[in-house]
Order: sequence, then structure tokens, then C-alpha cells
Amino acid sequence: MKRIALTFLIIFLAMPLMAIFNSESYSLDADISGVSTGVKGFGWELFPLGTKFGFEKDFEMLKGEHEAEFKIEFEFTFNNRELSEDYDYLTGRPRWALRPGETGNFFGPDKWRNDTDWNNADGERSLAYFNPRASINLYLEQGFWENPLDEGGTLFDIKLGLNSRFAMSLEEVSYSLRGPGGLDSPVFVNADGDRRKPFDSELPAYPWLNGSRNVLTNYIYLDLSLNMDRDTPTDAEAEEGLGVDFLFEAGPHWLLNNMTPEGIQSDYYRMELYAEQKMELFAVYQDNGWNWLNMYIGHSNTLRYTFGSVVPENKLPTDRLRGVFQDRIWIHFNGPQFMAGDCFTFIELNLYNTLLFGSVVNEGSGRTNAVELQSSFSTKFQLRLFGFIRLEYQLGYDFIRGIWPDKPEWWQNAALSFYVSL
Amino acid sequence: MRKAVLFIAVLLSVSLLPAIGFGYHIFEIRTEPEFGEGVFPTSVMYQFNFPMPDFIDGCKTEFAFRLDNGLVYRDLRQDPDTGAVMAKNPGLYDFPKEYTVHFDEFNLFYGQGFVDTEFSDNDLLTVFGSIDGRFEMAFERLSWMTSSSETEGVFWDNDHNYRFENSSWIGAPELSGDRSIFQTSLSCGLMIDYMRDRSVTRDGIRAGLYWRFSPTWMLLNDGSASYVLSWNELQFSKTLYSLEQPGERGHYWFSVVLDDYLTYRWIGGSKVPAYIQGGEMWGPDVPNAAHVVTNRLALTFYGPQMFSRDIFPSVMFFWDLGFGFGEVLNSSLDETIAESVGSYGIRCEFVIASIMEFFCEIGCSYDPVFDEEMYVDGKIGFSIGV
Repeated sequence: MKRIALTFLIIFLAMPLMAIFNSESYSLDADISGVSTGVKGFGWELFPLGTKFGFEKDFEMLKGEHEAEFKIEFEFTFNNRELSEDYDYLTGRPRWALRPGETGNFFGPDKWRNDTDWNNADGERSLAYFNPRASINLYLEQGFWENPLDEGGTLFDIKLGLNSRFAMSLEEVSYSLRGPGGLDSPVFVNADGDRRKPFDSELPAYPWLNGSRNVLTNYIYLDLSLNMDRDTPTDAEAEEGLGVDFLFEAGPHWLLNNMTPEGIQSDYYRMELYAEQKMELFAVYQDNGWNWLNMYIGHSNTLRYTFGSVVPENKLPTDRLRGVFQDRIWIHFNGPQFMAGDCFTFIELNLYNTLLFGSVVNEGSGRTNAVELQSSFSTKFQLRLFGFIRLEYQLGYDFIRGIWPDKPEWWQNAALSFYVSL
Repeated sequence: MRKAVLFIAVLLSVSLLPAIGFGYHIFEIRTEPEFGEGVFPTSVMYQFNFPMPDFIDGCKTEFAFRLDNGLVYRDLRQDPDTGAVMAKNPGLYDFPKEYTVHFDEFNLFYGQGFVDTEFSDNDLLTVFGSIDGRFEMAFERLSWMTSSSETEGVFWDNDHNYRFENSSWIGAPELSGDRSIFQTSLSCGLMIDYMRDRSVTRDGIRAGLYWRFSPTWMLLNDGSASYVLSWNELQFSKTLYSLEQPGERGHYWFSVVLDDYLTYRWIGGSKVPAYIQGGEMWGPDVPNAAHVVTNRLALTFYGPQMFSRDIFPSVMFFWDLGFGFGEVLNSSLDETIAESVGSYGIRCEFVIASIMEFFCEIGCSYDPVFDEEMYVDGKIGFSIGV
């Protein structure tokens, strides 16, 4: 781990670049999120489990152009996750690709219970584990030309950035309690601290669970965006315009992604092209300029492809298929602003059609290929209060489930979150 | 029920505000050595300001929502059964003391300044008050049970036995039961700021008085706390030498600053949670007595401000003293102590944009608490902080 510190020492030696920044002020972007999926028993699920915040500096990098922005963002989250039961931990082969009668090596109750080597007579071995994680993201962004729909905004932006992420996979925090946890039902280790099967050997499909289960991954990225859309300072305004975005991420092994004893924890590249169009249908305003009602319609397409032999946990594509093409159509209806400009409600209706294709990431043999279509409809209702409280309810219907044999199903969720975007 | 009451209380408190938009401050970012080598953040304290007119022309009126959340490490310092200070008999308590605390604290804060000093962000005198709530959950340190050499923790011994099976947890009331607490309190205080602070030069004084009151009967308090805190601090700074760079930016080539930070805190009450005990300094912790005094005398040599006022190297020599006296808190032994502790050291930093720093630090705990042994410790690394 000392090498990790050394890594950052090297990375941040680049920081003298900041010497060009003569601006004397900072601004902050902060949000608080993650209150609804917390650690078991933590704060009645009302308390934040993570925070994202950052510092930015604006300065003139190119004479006669818009000011460039240098930003450093920090994020930490400390909550639970669950092991996936869907991929063979030795080969990476998906469960849905198994032929009749074929068995694999999957996490989950079947293996937990049926294999005597793994069984723990003292308690149920769960899939849940504690996953504290944090990241540092820094980027430099330069804009060019004028956005015709946003005075002072830029038409074209280039962003170059570096992201570093550290994560641990540990037993649930309740494990150290006398009552509900104790030393009865650990996921990763025995009571003597030795690793339980299968975590005592390499897990190619889950590289972040190898060895000590401490992960450091880095990637660099280039983001090019074209912005011809209207500014919406409080989000209560109707959106209009179009935007195109191209993102390239590179997290190869040589980018300090093999620093821990567990070997290579990231070796991937990803490209994404995104385009959206939005059009205002109507807007009715109050005397003070706030809106009574407005509505806009939007349409977007996303094309994404992930290359590479080791894709880290936070970059796994849906169903682990390398290619994604998504089409989204949505109608957004904003209700009246009341009490303050950032107090309002909205309802959004979405229709998603997603085509997933290609081979399966983190499958060593690369022998599984698939094409699937997933379609869903969802409606989202949100109440926003004073810019930092959100009450949200979502209802959806997944009517085409792709490779999953399940029938179409309805789903719903509700959340209260504290969120500030400044 | 409690969840609903808390939510309604938060909602009502903000619904009264005819506000649009927020200002904001980040006060503190913390890291822990066991999480990503202390490079990645584990907790942050920040504040959102509701826009308020200044009631006194030129003086600051603040109405704000403060949040402090994340994960910190803490040491068990008193016997859970009796409250005896462990450092008095280290041989009896020969096990890892460190554990992890996941916490959230919020404060609805109001402050009014008086007398604008122009050279400081704060007014000469600021009076403030707040309503506070804090949730905590404690568990073993992050490295516990990650390998066969990490099976011993503060709560579990090497033989898989729970170390404090039938403990009353008098010595650490916040660790009883499921080690979760939710405590509410009322705070008020005043702050005096007459400091010309320009990062590498400081001249003047700052002083603060702060009281925090958390009775068991307070609304939403879970009964795990019962205390009154009086916290008093005084900072004196003097620039001994400075060499200014030519030009209008006011940057310096070199400066030498002498600082002294003095704190005195008094606590009364039967259940005193660790987060307000204070007494931290480099090296040893001052024992948890009713009265605690700490002092840091520091001489800092600042190198050149490079291009920006917040990019500079520095070398600090510090000398820390602490003194705890009076009745030991959270104890059933009716014990009275008078104990001094001391340490000194050097810290070298290269500060970047006031939020990142490379540092190298070495110190000596020359006067450890009670019967603990003196030691020398050093660190080198990269950290973030405000």
C-alpha cells in the first residue's frame, strides 16, 4: 500500500501546473446523496452515507477565449452492496448462458448451503458486504465559441481528466456486533481470519474481490461536447435545444492499475457517443417570472462500447455486454414554483429501448456473445424543496426483459434524498 | 415514529425559509490512514447558508445548515465497566483500542456579527446559537478480520470471544447496546476575531466561547448523553519576520510566524460521548477529566508563495502541552486526577491550493499519559484538507 501513496505522489507532481492559476477564489459544488441504500441499521435510513464535493478555479488559459476551469472533486460513500449471483467467478460465464444440465461456480445460497466445504453451521452466509469507497476526480475544461441559446455559455467544450478510486470490500459492519452479527456469518473470512472459499483463490470475473479486496483503479478521460441548449438555473424551466457528447475513457494496466499485490485491477477502454434533443411545448409564467406550468419533450440516443480484458466494478456495462445502444423518449412536466425558486414539482414519463450486444466483459475465454433488447416505461414524480431536499417516487414497467427469462414486471421505489447542486 | 418526527422537524425548519439559492463553505476534510493510505477523504464538514439580509449594516448575519458526515477512527480510552483510565494501567488493557465510527451531525445555525474589522472575513464579535443532532454507529477498525493477523479488535479478542460481554459501558456510553446513538443538543457561544490572516502571515488574536447542552430529556435524544460542555479557546499569532515579493499581489518570499493555541474545556454530566471530550494533541490524549487544558506553541517558517497565495511550502516546529484535572468523567470510581502530557515535533508541508498537501511529520511524545511509554513517530504522505 505504500506504493499507493507513491502513486499519488507521482500523479500529483503534475500539480505545479496549477502555478498558472492566479485566480484567488474558489467555488464549491456539493451534493449529499445515498440516504436510502445505507448500512443495515444506520440512522433509520435518514442520514447521508456519502458526500461528493469539489473545488474549482477559473482562469484564462487561451487569450481571447472563454475562461478555462480546473476542478478537483472528491467523493466518498460507505454503504452495503451485494455479491452478484449471475456470473461464474472462475470463468466469468453468465448464468443465462449455461446450457441445460451445465453447472457453474456462482456466489449465492445454493453454493453457500450445498457445498460442505463452504457451509457454516452457525449462521446464514449472506451476499451482503460493506463497501467503503472514495474517489478523486480532477479535470481541466476549456470552452470555445458562443452557445446561441445561452448567453455566456460555450458552444464547444473539451475536458481532459483523471479519476482515481479506492474501495474496500469488508464484512458488514453489524458483523462486529454481539447480537445480530458476531462471528457467525461472515462472507469473506473464517473466524480465524483465513479467507473462506472461494475468496482464497483468484476470481477472474470479480477482480475487485481478489486477495485483500482493496482496490485502487485509475483512468483518464477526454470529453468533447457540443452545447446548443438553453440555460435552466433552477431546473424548473422548460429545457430546449440539442447537445452532443463524445467521451473516451482509458484505464489501461499501465496507468498504475497494477500497484497492489492482487495484480491488474483495471485494463479497459470505453467510448460513448450521446446525442439529445429537447423542445419546449408550452410555458406559462407567474408575474414574478417564476413558472406556473411548462412542458417539454426530449429524445436521446446513447452508443457505448467497452473494450479490454479487466473491467473494474464501477465500469461494468449492463448485463456485462460490451455494446449498448439506447433510445430514450421522455416528456417532462414542471409544476408551479412556490415559496422559492427552487421549490417545485415535476412529473416525467420515460420510454427506454436498449439494445445490448457483444461479448461478455471479464470472461476470460470470450466465448459468450449475445444480443438482447430491453424495453421499459417509467414515470417519475419529484418534489424539490429549497434546493436540497428531494422526495421522489418512481413507477415502472419492464415489458421486454432481454436475456432474462423473467416475465414483464412492474416495479416502484421511493426515496428521500438531500442533494445540493450549486 | 422517531423517524417521522425527525423528518417533520427538518422539513418544518426549512419550510419557513423564504429562500432561493445557497452559499456554502467547507470547513474540514478528514482522512484516515487505513483507508487508501490517507489519500482519499473519509469525512467532510460543510455548511449551506440561507440567504439572509444583514441586520446590522456591514456585519454578517448567518443562518445556515451545517452537516458533518463520514467515517472516523477513535480510541477506547476508559474501561467500559468502571470508567477507569486505561493509560493508568496499560498492562491490564493490552489489546487494540482503535475502532471505527460512522457518523452524521447536523446543526441549524444562526450567527450575528458586530463591528466590521474589514481585514477579516469575520466580524470582530460574532454571537451564535444552534440546534444540533448527531447520529453515530461504531464498529471495529476497517482492517479487522481482513487476514489471519487482524483477528483481534477492541470488541473481539483473538479467541473469538466478545471482550465486554456484560459491560455496563459506563466508560463509553455511546458504545452500549447496538453501538448506535442519536443525540440532540442546544449550543450557543461567541467568537472574537481580530486576526490579519494572509495564509503565510498572521497577526492578532482570535478567541471563542462555546457551550453545548444535551440533557437526556431533550426532544429526540435517545438518552445516551447527558452533559453540559463549556469550550474556550484563544489563539495568538505574531509575524516575526516577512519578506514581500515585488508587485501588487502581496505575495511573500519568506515569513516566520509564531502561534499559540490555548484551549480550556469543562464538562459536567453523567454520560459524556467521546466526540465532545476534546483533549486531542499530537501523540498522547489528555485524560477525560472534568477540566482539560491544551496548548500548542508553534513556530512556522513559510517559503515563497508560488504564483498563487495558496501554493507554498512550510516547516513548523510545535510543542504541545496538555493538562487534565478534576473528576474523571464517565466513571463509577469517584476518581480525581491531575495529569500532564507533552509532545513536540516538526511538520514540513507543501500546500497546494489550500486543499491538498504533501507532508512529512515527526514527533516525540516525551511526557506520555500516566504509565504509557514515550515514543517517537513519523509520517510522510499526501493528504487533502481545508
